[in-house]
Amino acid sequence: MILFFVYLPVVVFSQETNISEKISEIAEEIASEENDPGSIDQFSDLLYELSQDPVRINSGDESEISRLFFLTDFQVKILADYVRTTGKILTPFEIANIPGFDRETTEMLIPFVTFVQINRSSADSTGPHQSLLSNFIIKTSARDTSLLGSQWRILTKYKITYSSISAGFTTEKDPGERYLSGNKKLPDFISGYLSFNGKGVMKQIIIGDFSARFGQGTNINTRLMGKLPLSSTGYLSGRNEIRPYTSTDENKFFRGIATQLTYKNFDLDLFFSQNQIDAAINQDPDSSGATIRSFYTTGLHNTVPGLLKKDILKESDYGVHLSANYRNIRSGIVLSGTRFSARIEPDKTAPENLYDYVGTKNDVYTLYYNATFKKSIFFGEMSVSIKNKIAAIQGISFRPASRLNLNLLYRYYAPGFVSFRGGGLSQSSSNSNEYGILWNMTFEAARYTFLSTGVDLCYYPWLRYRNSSPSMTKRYELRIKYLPSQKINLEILYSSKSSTADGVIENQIPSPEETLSRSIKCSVRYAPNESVSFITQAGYKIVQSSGGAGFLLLQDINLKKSGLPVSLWFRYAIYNTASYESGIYTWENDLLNSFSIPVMYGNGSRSYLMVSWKPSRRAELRFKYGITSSLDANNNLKNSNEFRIQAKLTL
Amino acid sequence: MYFSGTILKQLFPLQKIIVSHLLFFLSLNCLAGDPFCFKGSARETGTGGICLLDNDTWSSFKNQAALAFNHSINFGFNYENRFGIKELGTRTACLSIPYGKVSLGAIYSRFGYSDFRRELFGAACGMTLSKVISGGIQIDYITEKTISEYNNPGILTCEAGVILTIKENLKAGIHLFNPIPNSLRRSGLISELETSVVLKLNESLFAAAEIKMRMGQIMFIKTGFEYDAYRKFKVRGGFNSENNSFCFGIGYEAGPARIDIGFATHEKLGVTSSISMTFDINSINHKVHKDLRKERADINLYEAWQL
Repeated sequence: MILFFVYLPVVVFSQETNISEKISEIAEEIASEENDPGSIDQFSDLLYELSQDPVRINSGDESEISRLFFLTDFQVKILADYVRTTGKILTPFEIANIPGFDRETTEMLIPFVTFVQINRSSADSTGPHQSLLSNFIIKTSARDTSLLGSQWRILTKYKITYSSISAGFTTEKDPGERYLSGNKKLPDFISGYLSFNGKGVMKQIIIGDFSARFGQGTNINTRLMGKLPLSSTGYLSGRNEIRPYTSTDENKFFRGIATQLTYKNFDLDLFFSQNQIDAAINQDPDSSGATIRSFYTTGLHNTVPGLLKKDILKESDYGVHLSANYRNIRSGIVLSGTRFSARIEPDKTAPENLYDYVGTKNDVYTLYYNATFKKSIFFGEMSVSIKNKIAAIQGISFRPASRLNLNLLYRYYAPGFVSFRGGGLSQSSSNSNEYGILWNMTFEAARYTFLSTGVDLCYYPWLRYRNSSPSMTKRYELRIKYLPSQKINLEILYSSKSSTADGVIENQIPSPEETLSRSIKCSVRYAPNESVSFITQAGYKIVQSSGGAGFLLLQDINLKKSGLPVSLWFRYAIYNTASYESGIYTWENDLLNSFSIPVMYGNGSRSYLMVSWKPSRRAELRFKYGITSSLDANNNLKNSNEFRIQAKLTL
Repeated sequence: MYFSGTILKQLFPLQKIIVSHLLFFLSLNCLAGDPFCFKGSARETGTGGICLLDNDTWSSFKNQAALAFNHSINFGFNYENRFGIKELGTRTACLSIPYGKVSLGAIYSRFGYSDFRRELFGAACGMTLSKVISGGIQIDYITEKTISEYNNPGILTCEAGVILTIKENLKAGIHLFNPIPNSLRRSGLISELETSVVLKLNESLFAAAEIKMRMGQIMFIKTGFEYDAYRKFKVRGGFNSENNSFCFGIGYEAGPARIDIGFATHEKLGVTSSISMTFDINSINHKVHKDLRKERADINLYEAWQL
């Protein structure tokens, strides 16, 4: 989530394109670090939602401002207080002077806020607002006869809002899955919710599917990933919220009821959830009853073995969160519990699995705080899970000068710490077996020139996959941005990552072998006017001791003539990489509420053309056709095509 | 003499081997190598292969958007000799004609010799799209003939370019060769993408840099400059990271004609030399009119004197 802060907004040629590119950029960064499509999908959903319904910043209402989910609680509070005490904010750059905000954060807000005073109740009184979005995506490839359904990916999202009540549903069918066929004649994934936003004690109540996040997220965080950014410029402190679930990750959400109560300086969140999740069963005949070997998180049910894993485990969760504000300090406690209908019993023969969770229940207790002191923000959290295993986070965000921002973060996740629905700031997704220190800095070095840098040292005290001894990773990043005008944006990003894995086996003990991956990416955006923008990007990546080198050169041309209902996006990219490891991730403009970040590896080219047609103010159609040509070892060309179509209707 | 004759005798078989190998790889199939698209005149050879994105006729076939800056009829001839081997020579002729708001161009290029020949026919069009943006497109037809029975059929493709005039002295160019998916035709053809930046440092000095990537190969970086050394005499230099090639060249303008000579080194194979001549018809017409006017004035003067 904090990766959001990494990026400066560049007003390219239209706000919509700007948002689309920004979301894609963030998603690309996330994808290059971790293949977590659910999180990226969720992230892009939230941003698109905000762009469609910008936050009325001058309302001074904390609940309204808190829709800017990437702000911390403190920033929300400070912003609301500022509006209440000093009056309306007239320009976005006024925000930059408010304590707790910097220029980058402020510029990031611009596409998602409005300074016009709109009375929500009068706007709502005209009737319910409805939106319907459908995506159809197909990639041409050899027909796999083992798949149960067609190659199409079909996604439908519907939302209706009337006054303080909103409801919606999401259905999805992945490629190869059944759709309206089989025994149940339903899409493979269905999710829905009913939500009420109040203004009194009951701030919110959600029935159906929802996500939640409290504190730093080590206990509960199904909202956004806690992946550590390197050159983050924002504050790392967390926030509290429950929200209706509208994404397509088929396992990472709660299903039940959640409510948020508020009274004076106290907030109380309560939730209960019971959901069927995917899992793989142990085949061991000696085990007493059915036990679970592992969780199945891909969400793919397009083969018989995949379908057999669907919804076989019942997960029950409850949670209580209580927080209190006192001047510049906010503190809270979180209690949560998870119960499974079958015993989790992973294969523990391998030494790296020694600390893997075994059992049917888990409880986590958390205490957290945030405090501001002059130009510093201190934040910390400690959680205790089953067997008294600890997770702890302590950080400071310091702004000694208006042009300089410093962050320091220490985290510790003991081997064996378990939080099934947690997602604290960490390098790995498991929130276990890790400790490390992160430092980063952002500095406006000269006029129009921004420099940000970060270092992360991460240690794994116990063994892990492909590491038969304690190991560590080191990451460094340097980002230079030069923004001489709104028309031109130049950016250079250098990043380096070293990690270890088992190498040569000597005396039956594998010796650790270091892999060093370094990459440099240069991009230039030029938008001579509001109708057209050009983006050129060159990338070079070298992976020592395993992957070789990779090159990428791409050119984007985006066209949008004001007054015409049609927009065009064109890309042509040529790449050459020695292996998959040296492959380069690149974002692509894509359908609304969607993302595409293919990794370019091998020898070949990738091109696409996307057209958006808005026949009316309430409807939009998007078509995307992409071709990937790759050269094989014999210099023969192989093509794969991809076609995407989307319809969006707003009533 | 004896010494150089001996070396030549020793080198001759080596030269034959090189030619045979190069032509063998070139004739394998269309994916094997270059040159398919036009590589540039002696001016480009001298500047490391970069396109200076100005109103030079030859530049128009490196980036078709440069046609937009062409306001007179031009034609030219170019001969490139690779590594001193005549079998690897390329002969090129081009013509550009302004027509209303657009400018049209045609190019013919022939590479090889009687047993292996590759020809390119191109028709281009370029125009100014806005104050900042110029665009151009070229349709190419490429044929390849060998003495073997495995002649490649002709390939139809296209290339396109955009030039952005960011400032009066700063231009950026994008050029894409063969964006057509190979699934649409029987023979494959590699694609190329080039992006370049040209800065006019002062009235007499151009400096440019270019990034180029060709499918199946790594990325190349080119840099070069052109300097007006003395009146109409130009000096050029450059570096191309593809084969670590150092380049230099000279050019001279004599009225409507311009002659350019360029050289590019190859880290293993030797030197490629190139010569080109370009003629500006408008300048010729202008000179003819000027001469006619002068002649007419002389006649009038003579008649006046007779009277």
